[in-house]
Order: sequence, then C-alpha cells, then structure tokens
Amino acid sequence: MTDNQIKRSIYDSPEDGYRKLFDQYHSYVYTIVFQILRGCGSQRDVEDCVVDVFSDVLIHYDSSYEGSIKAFIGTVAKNKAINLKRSISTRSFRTVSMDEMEIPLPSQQNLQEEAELSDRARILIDKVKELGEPDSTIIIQKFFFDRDSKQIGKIVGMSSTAVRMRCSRALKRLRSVLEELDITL
Amino acid sequence: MKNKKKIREVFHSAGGEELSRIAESCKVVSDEKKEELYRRITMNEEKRNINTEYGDSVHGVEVRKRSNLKRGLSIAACGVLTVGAVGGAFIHHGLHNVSPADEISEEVPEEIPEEVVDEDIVLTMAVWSDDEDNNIYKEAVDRFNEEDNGYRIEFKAYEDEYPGDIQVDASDYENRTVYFDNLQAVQDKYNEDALSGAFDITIDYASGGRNDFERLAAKGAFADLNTIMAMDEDFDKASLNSHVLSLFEHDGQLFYMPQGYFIQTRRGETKYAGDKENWTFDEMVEHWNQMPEGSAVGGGGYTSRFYTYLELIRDDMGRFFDYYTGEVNFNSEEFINYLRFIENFDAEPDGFTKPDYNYFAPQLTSDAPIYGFGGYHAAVWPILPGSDEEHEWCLVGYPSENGSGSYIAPLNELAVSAFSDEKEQYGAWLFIKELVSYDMQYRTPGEDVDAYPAEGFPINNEAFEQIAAEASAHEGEPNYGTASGIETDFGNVTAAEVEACKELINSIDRSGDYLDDVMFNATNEELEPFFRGEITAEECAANLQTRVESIINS
Repeated sequence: MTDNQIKRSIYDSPEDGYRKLFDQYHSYVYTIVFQILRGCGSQRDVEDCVVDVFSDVLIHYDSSYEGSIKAFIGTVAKNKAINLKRSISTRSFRTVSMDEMEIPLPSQQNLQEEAELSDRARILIDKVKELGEPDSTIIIQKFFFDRDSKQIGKIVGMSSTAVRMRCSRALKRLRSVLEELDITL
Repeated sequence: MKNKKKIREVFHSAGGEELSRIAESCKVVSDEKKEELYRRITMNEEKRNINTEYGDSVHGVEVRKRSNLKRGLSIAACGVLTVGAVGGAFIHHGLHNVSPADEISEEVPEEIPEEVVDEDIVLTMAVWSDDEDNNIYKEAVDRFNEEDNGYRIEFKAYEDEYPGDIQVDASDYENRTVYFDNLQAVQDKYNEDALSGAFDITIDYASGGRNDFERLAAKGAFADLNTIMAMDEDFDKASLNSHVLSLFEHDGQLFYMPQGYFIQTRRGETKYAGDKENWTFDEMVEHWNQMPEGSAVGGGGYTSRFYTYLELIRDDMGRFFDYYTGEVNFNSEEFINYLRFIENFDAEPDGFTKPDYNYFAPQLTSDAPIYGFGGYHAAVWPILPGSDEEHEWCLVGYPSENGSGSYIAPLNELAVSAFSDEKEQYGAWLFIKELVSYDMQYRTPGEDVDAYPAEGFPINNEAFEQIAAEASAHEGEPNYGTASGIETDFGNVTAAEVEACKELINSIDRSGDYLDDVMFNATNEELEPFFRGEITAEECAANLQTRVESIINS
C-alpha cells in the first residue's frame, strides 16, 4: 500500500486509515525501537514504546502532510525510543552520554570499517530476504531480535524443533554468502 | 581482507536503511502480539479523549492537528479526562509508565500457551565433581545451556557416590587402602550406570580414577559417534583429524571422541639407541648389549626388574590385550621375551622398593610423552642441564615385533550412551561438537588453559594448524630456565621441529593408552611374584594371560 493510499484512507475513514498505517509500519517502528533499546530495555519496554509511537502519530499526523509517512513515523520512533532509553537509564542510575542516545554514527576514524559493516549488513539482509518465508523471518528473529526458537515458533506458527531445523538449513543455504562476507556464526 | 564478524554482530550493526530492510524482510511480531499492540494503541486513545489542537513540534517532527482523524478514532472515548490532564499526560507520560498500558497488559497472557511449549531435553552428563573448581566442563555446559538448541545438560557427579571422606591422608597406607576401596565402589557404580543408561554423556574420569572406558565401550555402553555425526548436516567430519580418529575406531565405529591427544613414545640418545625410529625388540636388545657397564634401560638409572618393566613396557601393556575382540597375548613369544629380558635385572624380594640408583648412569632410553609442539622440542633438544656436549636424540618408541613403536593416546575423551534415545544422543553430540570446534580448541600456546583440551594436540584441524603456525614464533631465541638448580638454555620450537612432529603424528599407526585401574592393579598383582624372583617369566606370562582373560570376559 502506498503512502497516498494510506493518506486517502485516513481522510475518508480515520479508523480504517489508521489501521492500514499500523499494518504497514508496525514492523518498521518495532525494528527501530528494538534496535535503539537493545541491551537496555525489556521486551515490555519495546512494546510500550511502539504503542506510544503510534499513539503520537495518531494524534499528530496530518494526512495533508506531503512528506513520506515512513520518514515521519521513523523519526517519531527514533526520538521516542531515545527518550525511553534515557528514562530507563535514569531509572537504573546510569549516566548515558549523548552519543549513546543516537543510533551510532560512524566516527571518522572507523568510517571505512563502519561503512564496510553497513555494506555487509545490507547484503546479508538482502540475501536473507531472498530465502523467502518463513526462513527469512527465522534468521532475522534469531540473529537480529535475539529470540529463541520457542519465541520464533510462536511468530511463524511452527514448533521450536521445526524452527531449529529450518534455521539450520537456511544457514546452510546462506553459507556461501557468509563465507564471501567473512561472516561466521 | 575483511575482519571476520559474527552474524549477530553484523545484524546488530544495522542502521537506518538496513532497519527498514529488516522490517520488510520478516514478520517482526506474531499476529497475536500485533493485535495486542493495536488494541493498546486504540484504547490509549479512547482514554485520552484528546480535544486540543496541537500545531507545534513534537519529537522533532512538525505536526498539525487533524481533528477528523482524532475524532474518528475517539468515537468510543469515555470523555472523562480533562484537556489539561490529557495534555500533560501526553507530554510526560514517560512511555514506560503508561498506566492504561499496564492495565491492559494484564489482560494479555504473557505465557506461551501450554500446547506450544516444548521443554528442553535434559541430558545427564557423568562427571566426577559438580564443583566449579574441579569440573572443567562447567563453563562449557553453562554456555551450552544458554544456547537455544532444545537441550539442557545437568551433571551427575560421582564424587557424591564416594562413601567416605575423599580428603584422606594419602601418606597413611591404611587410609590409602580405604580410599581406593571406596573409589572402587564408585567405579562399580559408574560402570553399572554406564551399562544401564543412567547418563547420556560421560567424560573419561567421571568415576574418579582411570575407568575402563574401553571395556565399557566394548560391552556396548557407548554409541557410535560416526553414526551420530553423519546425522548432523551442519558438521563436516573433515574438520577433525581423520587420521587420529581412525586410530580410535573399531570396525568403523567411534565410541568416544578424544578432544585431544598426545604421542606416547620413548627417546634414546643416538650414541646408545641408534638413529632408527620404531625399533624392534631384537634391535633394542642389540643396543642394550652394547651399553657401558652400569647402564640402565630407562630414566632414573634404576636397574631392578620392576623399574626395567616400568620403563620398558608398562605404558604399552595395552598392546597385549583387546577389549573389543577379547584377544589376550600375554602368552605370546613377544611378551615372554620382554619378561626374559627383564629377568636379567635385579629381583626385589622386598617388593617394589626403590633401589639405589645412579642418576648419571648411561640410559638406553627414557620416557617421552609428547603433549604438543613444545613437548616435541623438549624431547629432541640437544642441551642437557650441566652438560657441555650436545646430545642427539631419536624417538625410538617402544620396542615391538612390527616396529610400531609409538602410539597416539587420547585426551579428555567423551562418550555418548548407547542407551539414550536418538534425540538425546544427537543433543549430546551437539555438546561434543562444540568442544571440538576451533573456537574451543584453539589456544595460545602456554597461555590459554581454558581451551579444550588444555594440553596435548587438539583434534580440530584448524586449531591444530593455527597452533602449529604459531609454535615456532620464537625460533632461534634463547629460552633460559633452571633445571636441577642449573641455568640452561631450553631453546624454542623450530619450524623444522613442527614439521617433524606433524610427520611423526601422521606416521603413527596405532592408538593406545595407559592401563585402566582394573588392569593396572591386576597386572601389578600378577607381576609382583616375578619381580620378587619367585616365578619364571613363562609362569608370570601364563598367570597374566589367565587373569586378563578373566577380566575381559567378565
């Protein structure tokens, strides 16, 4: 669904349009929030933050706004997650530097390495995507979202044993790509 | 060349664009979770019942209120919250402390439904001690248990089976007897458990002493690891040293996995023992006959029957019996020849007492177990403490009829119970697989003692090659140390020694091991009258034959 279709839908029927917006972008928001809160917040924190992001968008999004919904919602997600990270860190009496509050940007010194890593991530994700479902979900859930096979099984509707087996086979299919990218398990 | 990165590290490095790709590439949350989140969002809105206009910058994004949007989603709003309260709540609701969300979440089951949960398979691992300081596998098992692999290992510590105080005073002979009797009780219990499937994985020293791993394997206690490995599509057996593993196979079956190994051999100075590796018994006798007066067969300069036996053959006694075939060869001409040779030395009417010895007596050979490239270097290094001359060494091995003098001995063996079901055996293999992986087996020589095995040569080829490549890093540099109070240059491993050591490993065509406790005690008992001079070589060989046959066939 395109942004224009979503905007049109919001204009015609806000409830329906908003549902479409959620369907379209909940994964994106969840992924951004998860990445920022990694190692800091709990799953519950991530979910609360996602709810909050959409609540904000619900209130503040103007369907006549000409920019991309994705850019808008991505920025809200990022800022909300950073705020939450700060809040959690304060709760745990931990001082968080401003740098930590941002999605890490490559420093001048490590620019090349960071760019290379980013390239590797992009290629890897594309190759994982080519695996198709449910393998792409299993791999990303395991290695990005750090979920175990029971949790992944619940998402893809499979037993944990079946998830492990599919994961193992999917990794085998990815083996040449991983070798090429100098990526180990 | 790029730096190697773990797949998780690469995923975790994903930034803006990649995050979008990730979101597009997979299902991020379950359908139930997605609906739960949406329900919470709409209920939040209902509770907020917002009616105010916002036209400012919120969270860095320029926004403008569209009343129709909010109205649409607030149709069922309860309308009890005041504008100010809601406005304040919105700005400061703190994301984490949203009470409506908390209330709602209680309605959502966090637990995975019973029918979806499949518990980890619990594997029992036989070890001697569960104590962190005495169980080198504890860390590896903890790591294994943290993985998402469907298995969890629990220890069965045989130390707990010991009936008395393990910490007895070893200098007190009576206490020692009690200690070993009690230990035998533990070993009996361990053997019984091994043959009834009371554990799924076992280490070789689980019963506290050197248990009869081979005997248990021959009796069918352990599963064939070759079969289990073949089930693992992710494992390439070629990553392990196939030559060494083949030496531990019986009829193509591998009943235990040595995590590492060492070379058991004997060395002799070429001026006494010659320069032929793997000598025969006759060649050994020929060289002995040329030794100067007052020489000894082995290290320490002892010249009694017992010490000659100890130096010459004890650590290779396993060659004369086979648990798997039931064959016993102590009545063979080869073994009797050994005893006849030993018969030429001093009998010890008082038992296995240490006679006077001459440390500086010329020695035909000495024990030379090689636990790594450093061990090989030490075995052939020409400088001895306090000696000005250079000594040239030859690894002659144990004298044997077929010239197969040295053997490969296993280190840190692990076996899987033959009585466990297929899933359990596979899980046990997954743990063993980790222990023989490069990550676990590579270690910086002399530094990383947490690796498996902590000593000896690793069974993993990549780890072996990496260690080999690094072994000669200090070639040519002096390496001073003190031995017998004398400062000596012990030298460093050379590249040539590394290559020679590799060649030696590849040339060895048999495995072997020190005697297990049962055989050790039994053979000592049968040999003692011979050492005392009470029976002949032939009588002793016959007694040994009968005794060992009865153990093997029991």
